[in-house]
Amino acid sequence: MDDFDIMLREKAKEEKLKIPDSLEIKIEKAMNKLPKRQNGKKIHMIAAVAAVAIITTSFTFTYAKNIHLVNTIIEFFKGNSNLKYSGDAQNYIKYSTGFSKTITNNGMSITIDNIACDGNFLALFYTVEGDGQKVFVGEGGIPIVNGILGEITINGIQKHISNNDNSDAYVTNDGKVKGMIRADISGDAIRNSFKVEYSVSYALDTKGQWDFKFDVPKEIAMKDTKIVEVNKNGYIKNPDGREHNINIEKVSFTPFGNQIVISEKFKTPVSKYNIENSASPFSLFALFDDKGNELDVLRGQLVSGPENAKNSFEFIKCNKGIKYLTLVPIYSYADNAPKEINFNPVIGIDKFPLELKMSSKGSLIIEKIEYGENETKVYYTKVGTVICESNFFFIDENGKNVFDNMAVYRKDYISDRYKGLHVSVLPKLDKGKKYKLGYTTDEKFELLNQYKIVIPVN
Amino acid sequence: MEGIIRLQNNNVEDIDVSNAIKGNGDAFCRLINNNKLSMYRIAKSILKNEYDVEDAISDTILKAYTNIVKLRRSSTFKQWVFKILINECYSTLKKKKRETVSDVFDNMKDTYEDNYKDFELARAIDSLEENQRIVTVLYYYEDMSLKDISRTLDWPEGTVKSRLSRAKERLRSLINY
Repeated sequence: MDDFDIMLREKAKEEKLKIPDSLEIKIEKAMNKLPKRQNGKKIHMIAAVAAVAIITTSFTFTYAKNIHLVNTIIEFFKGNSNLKYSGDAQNYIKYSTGFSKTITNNGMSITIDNIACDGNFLALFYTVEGDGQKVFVGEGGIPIVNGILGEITINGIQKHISNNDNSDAYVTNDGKVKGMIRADISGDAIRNSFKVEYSVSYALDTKGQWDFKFDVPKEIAMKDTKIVEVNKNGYIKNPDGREHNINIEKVSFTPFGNQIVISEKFKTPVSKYNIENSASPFSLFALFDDKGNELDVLRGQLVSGPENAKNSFEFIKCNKGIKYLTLVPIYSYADNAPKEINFNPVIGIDKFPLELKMSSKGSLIIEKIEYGENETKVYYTKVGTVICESNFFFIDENGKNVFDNMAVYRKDYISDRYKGLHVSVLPKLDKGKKYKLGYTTDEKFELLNQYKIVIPVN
Repeated sequence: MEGIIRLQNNNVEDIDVSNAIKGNGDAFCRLINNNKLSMYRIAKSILKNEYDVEDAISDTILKAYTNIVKLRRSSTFKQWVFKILINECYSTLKKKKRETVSDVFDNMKDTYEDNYKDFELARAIDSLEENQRIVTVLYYYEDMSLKDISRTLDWPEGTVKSRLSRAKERLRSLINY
């Protein structure tokens, strides 16, 4: 923040805004007319699982040999080429099992078409048919597809809610909703065989009950998986004085995604936190392989409790053959420090590869841009340490952003996990026009080499 | 930049959130009352018609109440309710854009009231482009970080930064700073 920002914030505090009487009356009326709600226990349970979009009839997990069942996954990815995990389609096909079980309730039929598991992630592919609300309007008026919402239980215990739980869905041409749930099971205790139950509470925003049950033999799920229980402690003290006592719990190398699981116990009592000094979990770090090559750590959402946190971080550009990893914490000065380099550069798109220099420590490399009939695909890799990877945008001949709110149009996925090739899919652009790329560079940050942690994974 | 979910502190608001999730209407009303001024300011930064502002806020209250069970443990009530409100405002704006320009202009003239006692900053912000106004209000009035604004609006942090940067340039010239 500069002096001008400080002045504006002070001015904002001084300004007195009065709520008009008519609005006060309307608020009062709205609050008096609130509908009666069911009491809490059931609702609370749903709220607890709302973060995890994740199935009763017993079924044994075997790999899909039936070509029809394999085809359902192929169909799923063919139906929409821009899904979050489109780049991993071949792996999901390879490690999937046919399930094809349909349950109908309240006019909604849910079919679990396929299940895929690699010991790190459990992927469920489903189809919903019925007259429920398929699409709702999200922030900025952008349509979002409603899928199914439920709760996963593994060996009778509710699945650990992970920051890496994810889902995606789309509406097919014949009006069905097809979706995929990718549940991170790295934080769950998995024995020789694990029994999975998936209880769906909502389908296309319609309440009901659809219960699926199946067994996953561990030796099948973990065929090509390497999981190392590391249990190594680390200590980091940031330049701002904030301390982190972390534990590297686990490193997993699996077909659907490598992960490092880091937990942290907060030292400061919760009562001493405030907005400026919240209990933010340790999250920013660089990762290097045993040859010193920097890996690509995927930045994502974090979850945390008031006293401790446990988060999984995916990383790519690495295979399971390495002997050790080196974790180097990063301290980002965020909004408080000047940028290292020009804040908002704009560059011409003349030749590839195109380097977007994000800081003195790292760049995004635009490998190619494909201007298709229906969409535009930007392929990029990272070199060195990059904190914000997705802050690039197209500028037209008049110097204006082509997409006013690009985040809502844009879909990102990883095309090649070993090479670290990312793809951003955007709406169609006019091939005949000459665009430029604008981007926002990284905030000032430093690698805290003094706190590096060597993690044996052999 | 990754989205670091801010923890809720074990304070009164958390207790109210927890009770509101369990269906306690009084707790929910306290949450709304504590945030109504901010909600009004945000709605005004997007919508110009006072009636639309009122409708967006009352619709937000109902939606927030019926959906509070979906409030994630890791999100603050304030950010969550702002998100619903902003969504409502943009939906209204979308509908309004279908109306004729002259109708909207007439409505603005008839119903827009300025309730600020100190006009300078509020008026300056009012002259900004639509997508700059909301970022400016969240940043300067609500003291929100760029990360939190990015999460609330579902815009990339870079977009928030560049819009705020442009808004600042404009404000600087308007306020002669």
